[in-house]
Amino acid sequence: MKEVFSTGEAARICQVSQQTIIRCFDAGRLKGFYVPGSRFRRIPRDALMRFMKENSIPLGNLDSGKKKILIVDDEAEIVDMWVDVLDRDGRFEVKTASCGYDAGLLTEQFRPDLIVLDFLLPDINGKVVCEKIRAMEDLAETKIIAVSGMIEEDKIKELYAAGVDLFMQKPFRITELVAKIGEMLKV
Amino acid sequence: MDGLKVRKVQLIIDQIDSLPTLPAVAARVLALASSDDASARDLTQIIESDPALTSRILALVNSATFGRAKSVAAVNRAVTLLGFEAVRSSVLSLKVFDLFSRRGTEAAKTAFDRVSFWKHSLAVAAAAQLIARRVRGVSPEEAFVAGLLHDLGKVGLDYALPKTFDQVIRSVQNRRISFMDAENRILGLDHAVIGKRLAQNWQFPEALVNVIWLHHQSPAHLPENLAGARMVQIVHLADLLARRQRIGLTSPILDASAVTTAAEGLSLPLEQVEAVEKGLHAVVAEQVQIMGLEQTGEKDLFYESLQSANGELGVINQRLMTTSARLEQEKRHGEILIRLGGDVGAAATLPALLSATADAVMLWAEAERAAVYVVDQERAFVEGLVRDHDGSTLEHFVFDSAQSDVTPMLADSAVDAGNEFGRAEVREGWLFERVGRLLGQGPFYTLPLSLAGERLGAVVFPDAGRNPEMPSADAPKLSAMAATAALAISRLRERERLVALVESLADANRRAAEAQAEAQRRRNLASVGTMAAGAAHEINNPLAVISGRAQILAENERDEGRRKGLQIIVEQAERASGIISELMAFARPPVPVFVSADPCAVVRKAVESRASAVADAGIELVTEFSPDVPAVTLDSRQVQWAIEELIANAAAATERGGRITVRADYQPSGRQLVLSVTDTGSGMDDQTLARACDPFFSGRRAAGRGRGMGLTKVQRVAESNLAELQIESAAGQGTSVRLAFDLKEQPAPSQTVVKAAV
Repeated sequence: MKEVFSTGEAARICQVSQQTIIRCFDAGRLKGFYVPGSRFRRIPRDALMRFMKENSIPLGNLDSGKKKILIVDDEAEIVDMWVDVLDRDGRFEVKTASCGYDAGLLTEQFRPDLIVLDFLLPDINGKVVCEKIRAMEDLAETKIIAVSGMIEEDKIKELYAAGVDLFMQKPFRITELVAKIGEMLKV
Repeated sequence: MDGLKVRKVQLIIDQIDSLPTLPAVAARVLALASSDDASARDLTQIIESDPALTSRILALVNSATFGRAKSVAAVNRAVTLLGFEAVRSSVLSLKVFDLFSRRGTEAAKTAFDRVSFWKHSLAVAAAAQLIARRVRGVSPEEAFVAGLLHDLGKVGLDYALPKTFDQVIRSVQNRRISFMDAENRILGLDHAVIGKRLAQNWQFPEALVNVIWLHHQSPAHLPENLAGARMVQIVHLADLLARRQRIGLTSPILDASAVTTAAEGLSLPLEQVEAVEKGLHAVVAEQVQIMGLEQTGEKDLFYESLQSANGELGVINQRLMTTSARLEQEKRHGEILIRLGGDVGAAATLPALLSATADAVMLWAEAERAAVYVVDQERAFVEGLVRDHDGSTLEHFVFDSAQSDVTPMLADSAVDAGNEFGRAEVREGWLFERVGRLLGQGPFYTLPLSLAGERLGAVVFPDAGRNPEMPSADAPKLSAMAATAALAISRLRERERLVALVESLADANRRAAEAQAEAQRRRNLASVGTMAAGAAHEINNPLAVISGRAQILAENERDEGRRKGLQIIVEQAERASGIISELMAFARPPVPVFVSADPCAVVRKAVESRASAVADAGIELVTEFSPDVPAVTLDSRQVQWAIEELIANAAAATERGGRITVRADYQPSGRQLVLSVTDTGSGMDDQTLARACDPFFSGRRAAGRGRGMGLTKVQRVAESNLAELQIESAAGQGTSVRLAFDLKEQPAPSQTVVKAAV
């Protein structure tokens, strides 16, 4: 979990300009410290949270400490199962999408650490989703696991080429897959 | 080649052997040592003992002493007038070379000019005599005789092989090569060798034999202790001088320093050699006159015509005597011809046809054996056989053009003068080299089988001596037989060509049908693949839910029995999914990743992974590897899997106490590698065996084990690794499954190893 924020990060979390954060910091309304020997300002997590509460800023953007996972699958049953499993695990914050359009939207907003992606979506090919995500620089760290009933070897190779980190065949062993997710997110 | 050369010499000598031996008169004249008085008396006596010889010598003397008032009538007077050597030479030449004289018309056809030949011999004789006078310890008279006879072999060759020798002379004249070269090229042997054998047969003195044999050798190459070495050197030099002066029938001297070398060998100053050379023309002219080579006296003409008239009379006499026998023969020959016509018509194969031909010729010639051969149409090989008169085939041979001495024969397709009926020894030399031992005693004849100017082959047979006019008289009838056989050969070939055409058409049909079946199979597999891919997505999604929900439930379930039940749900969902995957793998097998691998290592890994399971089943697992198994290009992962699958199959079919043998057999000769798994189990009946590789077919379905895809997948692995899957089995006899790799057709190693995710 992130404990210290820069003024830029704080501005993004609070959804205000960086100038506002710096003014509040310099006015003493937002407690913090300078990096020793420099002019860089740093704000500890609890100071930021107090500041947000005092100013009625929603805490949604402040990292809960949990890793964010986006499930993309058009089968409601599969999505429900994932939510069950990953919620119960407790280490993850889960959001779901049932088509490529929703997946794109949520990726922008939610900025997931990991995406579980079905290959065959009703609107966009999973491969295209994968390529789009890989084209976004600030999502370079986001892991992608493709899970599919698809068995054609050449298509699986294409997925790896498009930037998938792992392919898992349906049906799968849940414990095995969760262990892999934990490994990838280092939790 | 040496064996062939010896054979040719012997065959030609054999022919010369059939001549009368050297006349006693010549032998005795040859033995006369020197020109002393006693010898002169002996010579007179010898000549007078032969009336014909006496008249010829006197005729010679009279023409040589043309212009004298009184003609010479006594031999002793002639010897005194002409000199001992001259008379002795005349006698020798008359007697020796008369043996080789041929009938006038025949002689006229060849390039071998007797008079010209004589001039050369006389020039060498005279030169040898003059040189001998300047060399210590050599008799000039003997040198003269040696010179006179040095080219005996040429006359012998001209007599035995007139047409071939004619070719030699033309070759010498047109191509300016030496006689020795021309003879060796055309005949495979030369006049020196022939002359030597002839001289030995006639028991000439050893020194003279060596002169005849070695007169073309440079003195540097003569053995030290050779009998008559000096004489050989003298005649060698004399021959060079005669050739340099172009006296008579000569060939060019190719080595410019030859004369110098020869003179040095005799320690003779070059001035003396030149002196001999200068005087040569005059001496030869004189000798020619003495020998009467360029003028023929009236008496001679009369004598010769009388002689030939006598000969004609004798021939007519003999003809009359043999007429009735001949008629009988005619009838017999007619019958043979008719029978041959029937036999070759009925012959369905070339050997049968050749046998019939050889048999007919044997019957005709009353020969014990006969060889017959035909040259392939593309002239790539020659096929033939040797028949015995009892109707058995002694040898059936095929020689190809890779054998150098057969090549010219194969290449020569035209029927020329050299291919008419005639003596076989030299013309069919290659045949004697190979099957000569089966043909018995010669002389041999060859009957060409030709059609429309093309030589198809020949029949070669020995003359049993029962047919006195063998060489020419019956040639037309033989030709009729040859034509019958040749026609049949050509017809048989045409038929074979048609059959081959029909067969190749049938083969093309069969291959087209196979290709169609293969295309159909590929289409079927492709549609199975498409279906499996679609089904996989549709089925795997619900299976994932079933399996996943069961897993979640199982995790929270405290009741052991229920948990087990949930676990079974998970396993069965996976099994259902597996079926789809296997169907897919069957329809679209994974692309193999070819690497060079040690097949024994691959087998060993497979055995290791199955060892404990097999051991648990109480089955013995044995491995056997050939030594020196080479590296093979294959997908080691796939092949290892296939071997594991085969071991599992074998174990399932084998009772406790049985044995499974896994082998890697390498045959270096055929470059074949066979990986096999053999069990002592229940085996398969023919029906099961026939369907063993069908998808979803399992011989053990009743036991509920396996999905029947094992062998199917092994077969697909074999196919993609360019191996052949062979199954051998019988009910109760166990099963042997082999993967046979042909190492002559190896796949190229894969360029990049793609990370596979199955």
